[in-house]
Amino acid sequence: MSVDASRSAGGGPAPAAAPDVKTQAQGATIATGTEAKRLSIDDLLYLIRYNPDDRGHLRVINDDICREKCVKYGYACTRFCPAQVYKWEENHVSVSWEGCIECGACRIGCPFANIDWKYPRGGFGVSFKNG
Amino acid sequence: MSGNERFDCIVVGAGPAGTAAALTLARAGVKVVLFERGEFPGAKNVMGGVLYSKTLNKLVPGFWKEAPLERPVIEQNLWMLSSDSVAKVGYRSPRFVPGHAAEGGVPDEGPANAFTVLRAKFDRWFAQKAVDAGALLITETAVEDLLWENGKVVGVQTGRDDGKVYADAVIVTAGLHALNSLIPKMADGRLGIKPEHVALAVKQIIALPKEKIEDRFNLPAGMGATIELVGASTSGLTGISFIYTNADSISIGAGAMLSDYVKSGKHPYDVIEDFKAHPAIKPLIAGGEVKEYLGHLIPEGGYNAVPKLYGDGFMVAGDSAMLVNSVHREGSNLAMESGRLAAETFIKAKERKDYSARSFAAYRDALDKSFVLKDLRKYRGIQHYLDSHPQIFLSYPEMVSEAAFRFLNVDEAPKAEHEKMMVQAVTNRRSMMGLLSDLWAGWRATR
Ligand SMILES: Cc1cc2nc3c(=O)[nH]c(=O)nc-3n(C[C@H](O)[C@H](O)[C@H](O)COP(=O)(O)OP(=O)(O)OC[C@H]3O[C@@H](n4cnc5c(N)ncnc54)[C@H](O)[C@@H]3O)c2cc1C
Ligand code: SF4
Ligand code: SF4
Repeated sequence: MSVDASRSAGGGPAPAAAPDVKTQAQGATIATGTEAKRLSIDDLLYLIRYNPDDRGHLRVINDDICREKCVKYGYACTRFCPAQVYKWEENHVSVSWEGCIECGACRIGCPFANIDWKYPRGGFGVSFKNG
Repeated sequence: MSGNERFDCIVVGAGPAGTAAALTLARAGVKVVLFERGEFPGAKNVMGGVLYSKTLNKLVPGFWKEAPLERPVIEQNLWMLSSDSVAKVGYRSPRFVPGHAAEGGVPDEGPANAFTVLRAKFDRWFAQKAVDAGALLITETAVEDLLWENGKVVGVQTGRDDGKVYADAVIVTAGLHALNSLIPKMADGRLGIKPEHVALAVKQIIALPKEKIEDRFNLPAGMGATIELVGASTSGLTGISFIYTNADSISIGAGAMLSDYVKSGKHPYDVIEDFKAHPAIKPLIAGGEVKEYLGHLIPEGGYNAVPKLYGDGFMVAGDSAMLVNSVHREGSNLAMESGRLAAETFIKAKERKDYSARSFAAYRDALDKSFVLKDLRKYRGIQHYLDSHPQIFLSYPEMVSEAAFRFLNVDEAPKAEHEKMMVQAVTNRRSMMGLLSDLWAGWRATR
């Protein structure tokens, strides 16, 4: 067993200063410096290929349930959805189904079974390049 | 395919399970159609991914000479991450890669124990094998549900205009979400699959030049390594992360129980970005270009969550049947094996012209005798064990880190003192009795 204690001397923060991350059509480079820039969810979604359908495949069934019951979960789907499809907008959850990567987490994870979940129609939706 | 064409057998979903089934059926002369909702087989599929050779080699002998594989795995590692440090255990052996160890070229002696793969490429190749054997593959077509008549499955409803297709039986290999009429519902209308039964995994593909990968992972040319990680790699959620070397990219991902995500309110994309920023991980991927971001669920319910595997006119295989061994990160091989066994059951049933549940019960027997259910049974207690011992994932890695640091740090204290401090580092966090009981329960859960 080997042990790597990569503690920075004195426990201080790692030195900042690093080249910026470029987000390109093809990919996003992780800076070579000590401090790689975090990719935002928008950066990440930009890398995914989709065959967009013109009709949505996801729907929140009852906005009242989100408003009244889901506060204590911090509106769960707006947090765990890996593609940030759901966003809390003032008094309801908006659904950007175009970005869905079809994992199905919201189908199982909504504490109130309040999402009408389907896959997109055959041939539509996400189309991974690598998988 | 015309509206009322009839098949002997319909297979739903061209992942490892469905393709293994269709290939086996087509070779036996069964008239089989394989439906896939993606643009091509693999377009919707995500795994780590380590593909184990044994099961595939039974289906396509010599597969490694032609399949799109990334790297044969010569080394496997388990890392325990604390917030700023890492403890590593690993094993490298040329015995994992017979014939490959000589470097370069494709060996004839036999496949490596496992290969890293990218599913969008692999699944496409694998499905073509079924097509070559005579299966009809229809892509961009989602099966919406099963067609039932008198309590028996007689075909499928597809999303196409002339949508109904009939057959003697249907093999469902559509992954975790399977088909509505097969998924059990609870009394309150909620899904039978619970957030405790699945892990939500996100992954990135990071491009790096071959030589950089081999330098950083200390690999012979063309060879690959796997790293499984527990601890700080999942931001305090119960889960496992992974780093696998591909030919010229790295697959890096983090999976955690969906129930933990719901409870914690964390974002999966933050978890993976935090993991990538860990001081032990950052140097491995520095300068790489992120090519793709992916996400998928992993069935983790284990043996106790396996649903009904067959009925009148249907059988269920692969992820649709929750056949994943989460302890060993195996799924694709269980999918292939179960798909193959379902197909063989169908072939025998066809001789008798009996597609009833009684006839398909032979599928369950075959699974029981195979490694698929033997392995799942062996680990049937693990789910409960991990639920009731979250410290295995959370405080143990910190504890190991602290103990190792105290033992290895050179501070002129006598070595006997170091040993004492090491024991202290452990017992400060968990009593000796607690430790023993964790170990004992863990041992029991895997018997
Ligand atoms: C992040 C991650 C890492 C993993 N790592 C590993 C690993 O390293 N090694 C390993 O062995 N396993 C691993 N697994 C598990 C493995 O990926 C699965 O167990 C395996 O893919 C199951 O195969 P399957 O054929 O049953 O299902 P899937 O691979 O999910 O295939 C199902 C197919 O059916 C199609 N489909 C779904 N619904 C329909 C429909 N209604 N109509 C038509 N087609 C449909 C899908 O598009 C898909 O092609 C991992 C999983 C994940 C998510
Ligand atoms: S998780 Fe369900 S109930 Fe909560 S906000 Fe989302 S849709 Fe509404
Ligand atoms: S299926 Fe997955 S990606 Fe799509 S909306 Fe639900 S949680 Fe988000």
